[in-house]
Amino acid sequence: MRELQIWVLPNNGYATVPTMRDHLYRFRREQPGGRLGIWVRTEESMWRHLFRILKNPRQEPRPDIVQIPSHWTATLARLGVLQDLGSLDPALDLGRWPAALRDHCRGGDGRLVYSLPWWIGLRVLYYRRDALLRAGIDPAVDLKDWDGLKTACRRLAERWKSTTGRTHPMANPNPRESVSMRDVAPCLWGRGGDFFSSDGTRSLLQREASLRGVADYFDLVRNGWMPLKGPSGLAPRDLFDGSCALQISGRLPRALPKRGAARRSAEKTHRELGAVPYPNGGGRTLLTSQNLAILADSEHQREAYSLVRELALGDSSAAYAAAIGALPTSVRSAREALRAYPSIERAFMSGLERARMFPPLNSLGALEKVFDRSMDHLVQEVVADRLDERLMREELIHAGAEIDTILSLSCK
Amino acid sequence: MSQKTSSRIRESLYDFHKELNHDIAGEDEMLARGLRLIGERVKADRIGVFLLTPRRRELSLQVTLHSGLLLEMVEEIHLTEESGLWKLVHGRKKLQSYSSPHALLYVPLRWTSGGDEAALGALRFERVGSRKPFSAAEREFARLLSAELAQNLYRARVGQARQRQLKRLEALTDLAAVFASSLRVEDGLKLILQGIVHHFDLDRARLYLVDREQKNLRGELSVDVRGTARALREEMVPLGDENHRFARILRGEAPDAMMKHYEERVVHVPLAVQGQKIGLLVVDNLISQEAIQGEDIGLLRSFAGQIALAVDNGRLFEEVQALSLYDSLTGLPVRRYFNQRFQEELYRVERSREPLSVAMIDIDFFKGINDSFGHQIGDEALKLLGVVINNRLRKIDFPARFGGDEVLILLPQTNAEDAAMIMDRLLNDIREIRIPVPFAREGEVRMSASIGIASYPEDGRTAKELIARADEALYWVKSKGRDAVAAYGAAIGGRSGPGRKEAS
Repeated sequence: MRELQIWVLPNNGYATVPTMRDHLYRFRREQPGGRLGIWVRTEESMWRHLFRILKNPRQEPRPDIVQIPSHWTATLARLGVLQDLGSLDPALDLGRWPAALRDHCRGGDGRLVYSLPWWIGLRVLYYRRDALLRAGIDPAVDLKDWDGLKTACRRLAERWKSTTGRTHPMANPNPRESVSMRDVAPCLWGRGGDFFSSDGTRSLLQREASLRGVADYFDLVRNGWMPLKGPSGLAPRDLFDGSCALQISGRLPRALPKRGAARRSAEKTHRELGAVPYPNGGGRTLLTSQNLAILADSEHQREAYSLVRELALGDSSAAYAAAIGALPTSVRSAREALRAYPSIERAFMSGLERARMFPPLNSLGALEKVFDRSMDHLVQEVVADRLDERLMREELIHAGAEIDTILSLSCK
Repeated sequence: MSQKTSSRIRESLYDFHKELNHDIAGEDEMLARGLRLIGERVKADRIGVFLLTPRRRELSLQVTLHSGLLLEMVEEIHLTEESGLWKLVHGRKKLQSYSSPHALLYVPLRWTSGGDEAALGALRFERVGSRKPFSAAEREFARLLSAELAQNLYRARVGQARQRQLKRLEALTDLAAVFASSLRVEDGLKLILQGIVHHFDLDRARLYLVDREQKNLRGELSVDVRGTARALREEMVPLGDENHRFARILRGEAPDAMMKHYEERVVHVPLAVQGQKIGLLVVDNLISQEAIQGEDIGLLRSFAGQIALAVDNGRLFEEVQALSLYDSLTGLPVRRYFNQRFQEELYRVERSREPLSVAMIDIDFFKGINDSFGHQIGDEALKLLGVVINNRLRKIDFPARFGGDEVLILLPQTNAEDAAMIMDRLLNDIREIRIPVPFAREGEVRMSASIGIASYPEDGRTAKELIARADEALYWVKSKGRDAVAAYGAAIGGRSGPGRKEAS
């Protein structure tokens, strides 16, 4: 009996597998004889395993389908890891998705399609109305730009404390105890900086505006407004748990617990929730997409493609996004999904209009890793209380030089 | 802890020990099996394995057992020396527990043997639903299970590393042998770079060689993760360049800040023979961003000596071969080399049934040139003939100096008619040769030649037959007044065709 293997990222935390199984229940019933193995891998592990597979043809286990951040598509396609989906479905039409998402489905030559969008994330700034009120902050006026956000954090740190003392102004959206390219991107853009030149041939991290953008983001960490970790080694409880007043997030509010005190408390938090566009002056935010791809050496490509179609193009794709608190990939479905959240709908809709994705560069997957490693170094400096502007500048110059090397090698 | 409890724990520990000692492929499998077995013994909603990354002072969650499923979740914990987890991981604390936000227990994952020990990470047990704290017996049991897992994990790691090193060493030995037996340096280099990329799990390997003048480092070959080779001929670094990293490395200067920044992902290995730098091997994992292991770097550095020696030998061999295969005066291959190629070509046409012709050229009145103007002018005439032949012929043609002023040309995929056309054009070029001789009547010496052609299979099927027929055609031309081209079949063999050229 054939068994399709799908590797996904932890889309819904510890409930990722049951959510997937529930979602695919009908599809699996209609495909008797086929079994489905679901593996949950972190992004780091997914990347590492895909390279192991590339480098060792006998590497086991091997997936048929993988979930990848859309900007890995070109890198993996260029290396021959992914299957050209057009060869499995000559009628495949990407027209239902916005142009930015379509660009990330294609390989380096820009013609062949190697992945399909599954769900998207769009960063906005969430807030708790009651906390801001107590600190005398009007979100519509005070959270328009980064300086406003910093002032709000300062005021919240002074005036908003819970009885447990475990509250803090802002929650770190990064599930790792770190900062990533995706976290700082809107800050960098807000300052007029960028990661890469418009022709994609060199890094712009050495520019002053880029440095200022990174420094802006690190201000939140350095000032203790956005702590990285709680004392037990567990991530601090976030805005949705009521422990923070602010949080940048690309997801929709978490679903309510089924019953009990937890539900009542979550309901209260939900009632207080609001959102504004990313506070970088122009509200230009980062749009990310999670895509599905089939491995080039999968032995079950037809079956794999029918599952990918079901997940990405099927009627229920919006339902899966809703189940994990994400936005569906088509603008129409996203609008419909947001109607259920009137208090945040405007911020998301405004974000969608001004959102930007990373450029679809051939080696963007690798370049992101270079940048993230530099951010890790900076976080370590913060932890050791040594971070200053000189160190930050040096780190960005080195990251920029490595990015330039990779870009020059991948252009050849 | 009651006696009953402690004996139950001992039994369970022994079973755990036995089950972990089954045939387990590597670290990932060891963790997966270990976690499942621990999950059967300690009541917890989640059990996670954190591994220590010492350089980053970080615990990173590898795998979690949750509701019977093994999941990978994103979680990393920075350790500071004051933190309880730092003390736990480094053996200064037996366990660490919390009651908020739910019941949490950390136990160390430490390997110990005799006086040696190694910090591997920690296990985390969580009770999310019941929030019931872990009892003293449960804590102790969790600690013992973790210690047993650590012993096995360490053994698996060491075993895996040894096996990998052994495989790489074997591969390198094989590679060196293959390289040594390669006929051409270029082929050998390709094989060796492909082998390095494959056996060391690299993204790319590039080779640069110092040129004969010892002035520049020239790009030679690049092999990517898929084994595809690409020439790097356009890349050249002057060895005196103060700013270029490669030049600085070859000069033995200390690594700059940038090199330190990516030293785990790019390794530069200078190639030297008897202290003389002959090149640079650059390997990288810049796309996968995977760190190149220290032991692999050591292996590559020691193997670099073999590569250097083999490259040097190969170059020397090619130089010697070039000297013995080419005539130093005309720059044309010698007769021995021609014979070898002719034979190879005949084998090929026997299978492919393609046409093949051979032409023999003789400079008209060459003896007269030597006698009248001296051997120096005669040599100049031969040299210029060589230049004209090399310029005029197609890439597939193969000329050779046959002896004295005679030249043979192999014309693959060419019948008698086409051969005659090509030779006609060559004869025109020969007629254009001018050798300035001040004491000659015209102030210069002009040249012409007689050319005979024989074709496979109609004029002969062996090299000997074909050369003899071309020679006959050549003498036919000479008998008719020289300075012309004749094909054997048309001139002597009685076959009709435009290949026949009357001597003028």
